[in-house]
Amino acid sequence: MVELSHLRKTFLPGTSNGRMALRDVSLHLAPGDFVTIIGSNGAGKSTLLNAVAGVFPVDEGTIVIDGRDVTGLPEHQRAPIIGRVFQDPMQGTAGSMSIEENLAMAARRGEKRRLVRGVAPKDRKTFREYLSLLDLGLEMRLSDPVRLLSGGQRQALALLMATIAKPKLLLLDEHVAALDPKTAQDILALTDRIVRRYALTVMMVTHNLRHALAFGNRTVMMHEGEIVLDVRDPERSGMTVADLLERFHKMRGERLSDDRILLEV
Amino acid sequence: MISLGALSGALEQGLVYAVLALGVYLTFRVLNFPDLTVDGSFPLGAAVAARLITCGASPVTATVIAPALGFAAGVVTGVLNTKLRISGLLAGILTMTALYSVNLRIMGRANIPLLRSATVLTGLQGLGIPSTVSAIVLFSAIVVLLKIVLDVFLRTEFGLALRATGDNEVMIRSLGVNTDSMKIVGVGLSNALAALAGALVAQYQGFADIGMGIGMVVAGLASVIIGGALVAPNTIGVATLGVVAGSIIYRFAVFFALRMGFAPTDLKIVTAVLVVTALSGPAVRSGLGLERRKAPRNGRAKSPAQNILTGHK
Repeated sequence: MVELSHLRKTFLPGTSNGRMALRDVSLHLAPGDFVTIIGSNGAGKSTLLNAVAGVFPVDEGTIVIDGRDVTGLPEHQRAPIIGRVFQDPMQGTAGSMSIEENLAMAARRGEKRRLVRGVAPKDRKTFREYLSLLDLGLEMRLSDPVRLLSGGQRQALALLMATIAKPKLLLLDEHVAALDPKTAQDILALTDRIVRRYALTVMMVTHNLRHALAFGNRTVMMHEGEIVLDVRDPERSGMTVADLLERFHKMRGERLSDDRILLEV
Repeated sequence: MISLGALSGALEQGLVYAVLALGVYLTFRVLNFPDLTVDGSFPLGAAVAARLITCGASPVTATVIAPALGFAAGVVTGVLNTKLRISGLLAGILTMTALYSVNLRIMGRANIPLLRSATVLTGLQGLGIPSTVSAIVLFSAIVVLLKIVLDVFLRTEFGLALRATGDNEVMIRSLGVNTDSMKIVGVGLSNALAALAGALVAQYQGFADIGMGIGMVVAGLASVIIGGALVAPNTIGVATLGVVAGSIIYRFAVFFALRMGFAPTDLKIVTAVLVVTALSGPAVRSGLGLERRKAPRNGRAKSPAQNILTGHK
């Protein structure tokens, strides 16, 4: 479903601030794979997601999604097959627009925007059904502007918007990191429900090792722009956070100078 | 005593300039794009209409062609900004500056009088509508029509994407919308409205003048701000209604400022001070400690449009 081959990306090449953010990253996902991606700050996790989404072009390597080579396509042309949820709940929704308008825009993901009514009456019925999945009562507030919602509600809506058009690939970039622990749990549970319901292929970046092991069927660890660990179920399902750290250290043959910056456990 | 004729004059101006204000609303508020092209596209519309009419074209044709050229001017600004990566403010200033030469070329001289020419207004009088109300009838009809069309347009799929481009560009791009195209079309439409206003104003006041665009952005902005203060613009329909009402109130304010003894040439500074006051209000109050600072919790504390207007992030 997703084939990332030998991706390389250097930011600000040729300057003293030049940084190689991705060095030869290859990753292959089967349909329905849900991979969690962990690693310390600057390991290249977000760079990898942005490269897949097409925020910037990669220097080398190819990105094939659902049999289509999208390496040269700009972000908005990859959007038909990629859904995204950002870390900042404000980033995934348009605050000045209503809940139903936000959903309507998401439902037309990748389609040409026509001069026909944006929210049709039959859309509202579908939206109510979708929103009731959230259990937040939002189905009663279709015409409320999104800025009235809490951060957790906005992120739940953003998740729904990212998945309503059933993308081939869902990218989650620390999408619960800005939420309080309880809300983060709720959003993660919701993520799991939606992903299962539509059998989506997912790449989820997280700073939380527990979340990394609790969700998905595969965990990848990045370090300095490389994938240094790749474990799948069933092997992964027996692992603990301590095992994960142990494996990481063994593989690197060194102890990281500071485990605290690696991950929150 | 204030004569009825003087008051209806203020109303006529409020209505005809509401067309311009709707254009300014489209860029500054909806698209979050500080477009200054309007100072050039407004006289462009006037120049095109005046020249066509003096060359014998029908006033209706002239009034329809003017916004098409205004659209083109806006497209230039949009392309400068999105494709050549020139900042929105500078892109507008560049187009506006270039338009000064273009407008002079179109007109052939600095001023074209239309007092003896047929206009859309004299055409209406030919249909039996008395000259005292012809302007109000025509401008009301145009403004109501434009307001309704704009309301409907901004609720279409395309309109939603346009609004989202102004609200959250990252999000709407992740949903597959080419935000560059949205900006180009949006700025184009805004300037089409400005040029239409210019064409109507030239026919209404009886001349086109090369200098008639000076301060038009700020005047339009004043109307938009007054409109925003009048109503809570939670829905598009209410917001555009506020803009139209804001334009009418602004023209009445101008009318009374003139009666108070301001010279017509002083009006630009009066308008500028008005806009500065409206924009700085919250900042001044919080600077004096008169306003409790509210942390932005659920969503932005300010609308994005307010952000570009005041420079706050």
